[in-house]
Amino acid sequence: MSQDAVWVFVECEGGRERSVVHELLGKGREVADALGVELHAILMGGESEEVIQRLRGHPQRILVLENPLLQRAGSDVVASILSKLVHERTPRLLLAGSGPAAVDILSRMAAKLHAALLTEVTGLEVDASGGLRVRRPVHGGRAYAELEPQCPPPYLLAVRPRSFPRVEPKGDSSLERIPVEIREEELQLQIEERLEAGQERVDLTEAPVVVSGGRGMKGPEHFALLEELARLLGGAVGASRAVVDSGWRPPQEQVGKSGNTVSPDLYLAFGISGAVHHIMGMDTSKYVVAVNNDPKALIFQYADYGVVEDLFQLLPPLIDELKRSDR
Amino acid sequence: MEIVVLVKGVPDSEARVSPTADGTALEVEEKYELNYFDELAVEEALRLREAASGGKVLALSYGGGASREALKKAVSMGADEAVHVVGPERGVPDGLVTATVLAACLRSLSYDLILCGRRASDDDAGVVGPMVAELLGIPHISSVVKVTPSQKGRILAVRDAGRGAKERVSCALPLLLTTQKGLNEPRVPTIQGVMKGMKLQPRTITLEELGLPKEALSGRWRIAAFREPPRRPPVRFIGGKDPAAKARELARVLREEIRILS
Amino acid sequence: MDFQLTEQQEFFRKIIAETVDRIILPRAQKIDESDEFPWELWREFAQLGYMGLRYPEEIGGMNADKVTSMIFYEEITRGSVGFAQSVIMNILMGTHFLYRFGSEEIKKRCLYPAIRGEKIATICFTEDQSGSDLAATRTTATRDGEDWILNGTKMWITNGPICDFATVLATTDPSKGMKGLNFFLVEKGTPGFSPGQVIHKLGCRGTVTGELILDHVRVPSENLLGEEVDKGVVYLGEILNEIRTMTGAMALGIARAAYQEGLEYSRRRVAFGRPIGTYQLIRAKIAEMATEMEAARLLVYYSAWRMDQGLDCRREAAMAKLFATEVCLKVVDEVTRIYGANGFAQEYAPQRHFRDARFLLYGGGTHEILKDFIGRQIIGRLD
Repeated sequence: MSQDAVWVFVECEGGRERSVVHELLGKGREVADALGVELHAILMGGESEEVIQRLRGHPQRILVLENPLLQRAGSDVVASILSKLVHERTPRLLLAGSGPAAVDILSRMAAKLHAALLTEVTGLEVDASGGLRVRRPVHGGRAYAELEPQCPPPYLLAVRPRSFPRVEPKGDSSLERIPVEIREEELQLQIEERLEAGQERVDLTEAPVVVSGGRGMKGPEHFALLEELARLLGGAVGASRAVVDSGWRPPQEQVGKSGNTVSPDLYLAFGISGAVHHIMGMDTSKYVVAVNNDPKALIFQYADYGVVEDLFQLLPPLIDELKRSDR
Repeated sequence: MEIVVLVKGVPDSEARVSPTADGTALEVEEKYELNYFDELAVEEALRLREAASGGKVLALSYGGGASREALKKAVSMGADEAVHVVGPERGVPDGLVTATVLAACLRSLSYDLILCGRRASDDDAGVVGPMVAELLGIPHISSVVKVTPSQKGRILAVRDAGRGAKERVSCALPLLLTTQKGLNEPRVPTIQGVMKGMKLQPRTITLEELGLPKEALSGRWRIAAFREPPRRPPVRFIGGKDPAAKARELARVLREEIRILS
Repeated sequence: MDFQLTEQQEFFRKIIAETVDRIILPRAQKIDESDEFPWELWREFAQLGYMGLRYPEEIGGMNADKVTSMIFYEEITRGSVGFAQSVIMNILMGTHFLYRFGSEEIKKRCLYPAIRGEKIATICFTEDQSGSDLAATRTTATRDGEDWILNGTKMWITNGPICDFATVLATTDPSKGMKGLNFFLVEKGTPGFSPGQVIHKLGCRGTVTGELILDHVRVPSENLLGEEVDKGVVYLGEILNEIRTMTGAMALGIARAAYQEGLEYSRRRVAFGRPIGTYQLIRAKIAEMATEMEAARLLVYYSAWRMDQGLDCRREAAMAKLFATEVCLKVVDEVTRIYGANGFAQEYAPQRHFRDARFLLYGGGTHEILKDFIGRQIIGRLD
């Protein structure tokens, strides 16, 4: 059944599919099975064959859109191509990873197709009669809403990374290459230059990982350890108010009530006691790991994982361990 | 340059938010403020107007009393005009309805540039900006962190491409931009601005006047339930005979349980 | 009966609260710790134009009603008492008599720059032997041809050591007591006018408070602020109620700042496995504080509302100052208790609120004087 299929949009970055794609394929397969329909993956051509190889298994079919101009196309052009295809092939559900590019494309598709769209989705269930129930946070995570569509498909969902487990693929997929038409004059947006993350400091509030140090760091010179750890984890360095007030780190790195509020996937607190004003700046983090040599430190009450240890003893072997797994 | 800024009033960051006991509704304390990213949009519009030493900044909002608050704030910052499309106090959970209303109103206004926040802090959806652009048939650049008007009717922008990457993009006007943190530091209103905001009577437009069909205003999603957010479970201490053993276990937790390096 | 702020007042409250949260509150701890006048903040804040709050729009003001003014005083004090004291001095006491009685020349030279925040104003009542007992004022002003010669030493002068001009209370005839009092403008640079000792205070740090010395200071006759000699006490009466209500609003500001800290702490701090806010004794503290603050707020804004209606509010103003201060003193104390040992730590704000609140006992009249005044008003003259 290729009609009513579940589609997963394969978004690539730097020649590689985003890791959320594998989470979506796993969930997509589960949903497609529950609905008794096929799972298709759809991706922009021009990506390497290796990407296609890695996708093989979960979806019954992999749709590859082909046109050399796609690499330069903005969300308006991609949305228009995908909308046309959705219109022709009538999938029931389109899953993408929440992120700036995918949300742009899905928003434009929803407007074009008058379709139902939800972003920042963290949960998805199908009931016995095939009805969808979608879960997403509202008000900065202070509550969650569960929603059901009250219109015909397609349903477009942008799913938050790490909402569903990554499932290893099995089996094989057929491949369909679909040539698409793009006229040069349709490309209104000109991308003049792309500055990769390495060239710019990661913004603290946007960083997926924040590695913060407090007074327990004992001096500005030791923050090099946290910088290295942050680099390994693809994160940014933060600091407590005491550290900023002592002039060890610049004010823009301060986490807390009078500094930045961060909610990364992972917040690592080293030598931070856990004063209330600090907690207010990081309590919405997905995971909190605290390292402190005082087992009674307040920070442990706001942490998922705690390590009671002298941080100067723990950091060097931890960095070595992570370097090993970072190959 | 004529600039329209789309603004939304959202519950302020300290407003209490909690689902009712039966989960059918969300109780939200009625304290509203201009959505943070929209505030950046207003600020950027004002800076563009000041840099060009001319032009007009019009703030547009769709909604109930919260919209009025947002418009007053925009005017107190320095927006020249305010238009309020009067909608229900609690909108439907569908950004496409909002975008449809805003686009319908924008068709009757003149603009070179439309600015809005990249998302609103209440429903965190981030869809209205690109939807409005699509409905108006104009391009958009999302999550901009720098805007420079360049030669003849073009805008040069740096956008946050996610994960720390940035893109320099150029595009012809008319254009819609959504704003990202880092774009600017919004100004604090002066007392003259506050007085303008206090006295503001925004131009109001009703949904009937926009002549939208009824189905355009009904949401595509129905809220089945609201739930409390999950609470953090008690801390789990990572043990080990020495620091190296603890480091090994912590690295394993990061990899396998938190899955941070996946 | 209408207890609602108008939509305009409500909007004003929101904007000033946001402004305080953004530019004042983050610096409050630092201002307290350094105990230095925050020049940078002063200049940044002055540009926003609030120093003209009470004055007409034509001269750069807002012409705010009294309720709106109290909202401002409450909010700015919530941000930083040390900073608020200096600002309120420029807005209210330090400029009032210049606005009322100053010649156009004086206004151009002092008032308008003060409204723009370019000049710092102060008023000098207190002396070594006179505070609430103004009849004991020893600073004298004596005629010398067309001029006045001022002699005396003023104490506890907010902004004193850094002021550009001062409104000085002096007696032109000590034998007349209260009736001999008058206000004079004295500008910085006038020979014989100099700052004395700076007073290091328990709280309200950041405000520079100190002595001002007047040693044969000669000022021209136009510097007598008032249409007639010996009317000073009448003119003072005109703003006394505003000063007292304002002090009540400042009490609310400090109380709210402290209460907010205590409330957040009670939700977050865990003891014996659960947040302390789940314990009845902590809840009782929160409930009592909230209730009493609400009562104080009603009294302060009722007094301001009466002023706006042109009604007599001498009693209400005194009550508002008295009650709001007592509530504030209780709240700052309770919050340090909610904080446990942390309430004793310099790192946290509660100890600052605890210290700051003490000034309320003296500014705007001691509570002994206020109670005597209120009692006398109620009982009436029996002698």
